[in-house]
Amino acid sequence: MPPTPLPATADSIGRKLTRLVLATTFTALFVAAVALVTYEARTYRELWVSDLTTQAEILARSTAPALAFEDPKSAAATLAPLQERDNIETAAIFRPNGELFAIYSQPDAELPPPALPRWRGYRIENGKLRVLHPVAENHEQLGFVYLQARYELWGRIRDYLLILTAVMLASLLVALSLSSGLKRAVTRPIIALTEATRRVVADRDFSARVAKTSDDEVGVLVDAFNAMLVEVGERAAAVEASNRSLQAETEERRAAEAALRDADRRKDEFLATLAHELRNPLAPMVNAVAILRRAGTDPQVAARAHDMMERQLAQMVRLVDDLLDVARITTGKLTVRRQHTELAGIIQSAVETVRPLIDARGHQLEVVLPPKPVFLHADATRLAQVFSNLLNNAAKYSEKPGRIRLVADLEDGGLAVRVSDQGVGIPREILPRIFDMFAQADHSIERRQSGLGVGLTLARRLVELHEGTLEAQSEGPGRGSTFAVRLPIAADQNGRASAQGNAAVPRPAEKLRILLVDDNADFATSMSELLESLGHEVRVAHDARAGVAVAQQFAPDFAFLDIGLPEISGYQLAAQLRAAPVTSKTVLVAVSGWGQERDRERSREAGFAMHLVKPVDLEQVQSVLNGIVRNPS
Amino acid sequence: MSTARAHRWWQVTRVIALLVLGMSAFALFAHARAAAEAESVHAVKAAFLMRFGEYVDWPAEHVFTPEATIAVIGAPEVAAELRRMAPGRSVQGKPIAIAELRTLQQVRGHEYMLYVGEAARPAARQSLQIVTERHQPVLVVADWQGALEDGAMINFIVHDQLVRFEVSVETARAAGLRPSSRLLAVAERVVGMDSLRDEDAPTL
Repeated sequence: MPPTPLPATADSIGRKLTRLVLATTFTALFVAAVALVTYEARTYRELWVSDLTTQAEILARSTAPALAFEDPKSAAATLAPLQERDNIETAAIFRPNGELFAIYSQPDAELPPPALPRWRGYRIENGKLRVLHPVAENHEQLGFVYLQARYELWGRIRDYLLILTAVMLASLLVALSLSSGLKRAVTRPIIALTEATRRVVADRDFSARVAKTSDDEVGVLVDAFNAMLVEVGERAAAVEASNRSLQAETEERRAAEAALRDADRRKDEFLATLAHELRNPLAPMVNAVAILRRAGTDPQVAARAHDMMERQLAQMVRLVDDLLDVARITTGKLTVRRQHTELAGIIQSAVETVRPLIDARGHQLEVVLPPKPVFLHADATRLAQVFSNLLNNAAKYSEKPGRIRLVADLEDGGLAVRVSDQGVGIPREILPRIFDMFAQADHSIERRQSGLGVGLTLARRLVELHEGTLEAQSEGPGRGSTFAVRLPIAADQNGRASAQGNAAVPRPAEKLRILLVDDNADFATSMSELLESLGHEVRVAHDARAGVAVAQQFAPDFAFLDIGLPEISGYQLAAQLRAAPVTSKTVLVAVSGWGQERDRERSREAGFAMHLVKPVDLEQVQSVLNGIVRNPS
Repeated sequence: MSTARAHRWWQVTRVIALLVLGMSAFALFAHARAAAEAESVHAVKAAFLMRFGEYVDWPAEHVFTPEATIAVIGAPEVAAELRRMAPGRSVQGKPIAIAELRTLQQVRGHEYMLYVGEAARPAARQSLQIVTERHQPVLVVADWQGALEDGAMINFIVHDQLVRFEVSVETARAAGLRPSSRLLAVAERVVGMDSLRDEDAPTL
């Protein structure tokens, strides 16, 4: 609501007061004037008639002897003093027979009638008052006195009106001066109030207050106005505050919406990428299968086809593993099993995982570890995953063959591992978001190298689960990047752990004897070939009876037993192997289609050291062989 | 207002009026002048006599019984006029009666007024004192020149057919009568005012 300025007062209270006072005064004077004039009009006539009649009576009395004794001179002398009375124009004495006896007249005045009028008493006409009064003595009619005077009622009323007008003007002047005083007393507080109101409306300034100058109704009004201002001010402040909070809420919600949209968009991108990434390895694999199926294939070509399929499969397996881990992150089920373990083994494991890619790309890898062994309270498999992820990224995002460095140092009582490359680098604006789920560097740069965008998220989450931090640094696009992992080291850094750690992580170079018992010939064959390719000695059996027989001769270090074997189950087989002296020290691993806790419990009871759920891949097997995955109990 | 100018104007008007009146009267009544004038004068005198009583105060204890008698001596024409006027008229609340006497000796003293015509003028001066010396409150009116010195209280004077009169306050008061100032105001001459003034001065 825009503030509308108050209109200027066209008719102020002061002017109204003045008008009121003037109107009151005028009305009072006017009524008084009308009353006075009416009264005067009535009394003037009565008084003047009475006066003239009295005068006539006196003249009658004093001229009676003159009439009685025929003395007109004396009569005229009696009339002569009338000249002192200006408004008596003419006086005359008549004999009873109407004959003029004596006369007095002002100059230029109307002369008396030549004969005695027939009327008696008084007459008013033509602005004249005439009186005819009889003269009598001792019942004898001696004559008449005639008087004629100016009857100036209208002149008198005019005089009155003039006087009243003068009085009225004077009164109005007095009333004006009085009203200005009254105005000062009455209107000044009102004007102050009006000014304050105007200020408040114009400036929206509710802190203004009106000074109270009187204890009358205006004073009460001022108090009420000030109270109202306080109230309005408080309400306005409250409304403003609620507006602000509403705005903040709106902004928050907008940001949340934007974040949601962004997440949604990234998820869409992720799905597209996922489909792409899953589809990508399939085409070369199909080709390789076709090559291998053809009879008489050159053994060298077949070997390349195998290598290619291996790489592509490994890529897919990694993808699916990442996906499973992402699912665990989102559902909050990602957990680590922390143990006393040594750094070098973890790094070695990671390097070995990534080595094929590094070699394929022609990169040089430099690994620098602290001179003394460093022990961590950590999940070795998960940390190896972190480092392999970082190394994998370094290899993947270096276009040309370059140098990749992994440097571990003890810093500030903790461990810092930096993985740096000379690759494409990371734009400054992307750096803060690099660890977000599904976030990736510019797609256009390295489309074909794009992963799912979950590797770094997973890595950071895993580091955080170890109470560490993962940070990325980059000088910019084309200038390489560095990822730094900081981890707390174990409080116990003695050799006991070291010896255990060494035992727990056997070198892959060590040749192990492995027994695989599985009725699935494909799985058993492919797995045995894999393990043999890693330098292990492998025997395969397709049922329990054969398995026992082989074990007696072979005395394997590890035995992977399918639970769902025909005739004799995996559990029974395990019991038999455990019972036989040759195989009592063999590490037994259950391989089952069932992964419930109940199944795992049963495996433990049967003497299995570990329980793997189908499909089992090489990595899992390698972990078991490296002793990284230990018996859950 | 110019009083002097008005007065002069009035005087001029009066003179013109008198001239016109006089000339008209002369032209119209030239023949019957003597008779008419005589008759008019008698009537005026009679009227005056009728009215004098109203302007004179009698002693409070004096009572007219049974009526106010005007005694007339030596003026039969005036007496006749008086008789004609008398009916219905009164003075001091008493009806007026007219009595004609032959001589002054016939005056009894109870009369209200005595009018002595020129025909009955006594030979010796002061003879009217017969009446006044008795200290009777009788208003004595006479009709000849010098009558006041002869003891009359009021005396008629006639100038050019106009009847005027003169008053002797001294004589009237000696008889216990008091002429009113209104009467004196229209009198041609008033005698004896000095004594009156001396006498009444302390009371004024």
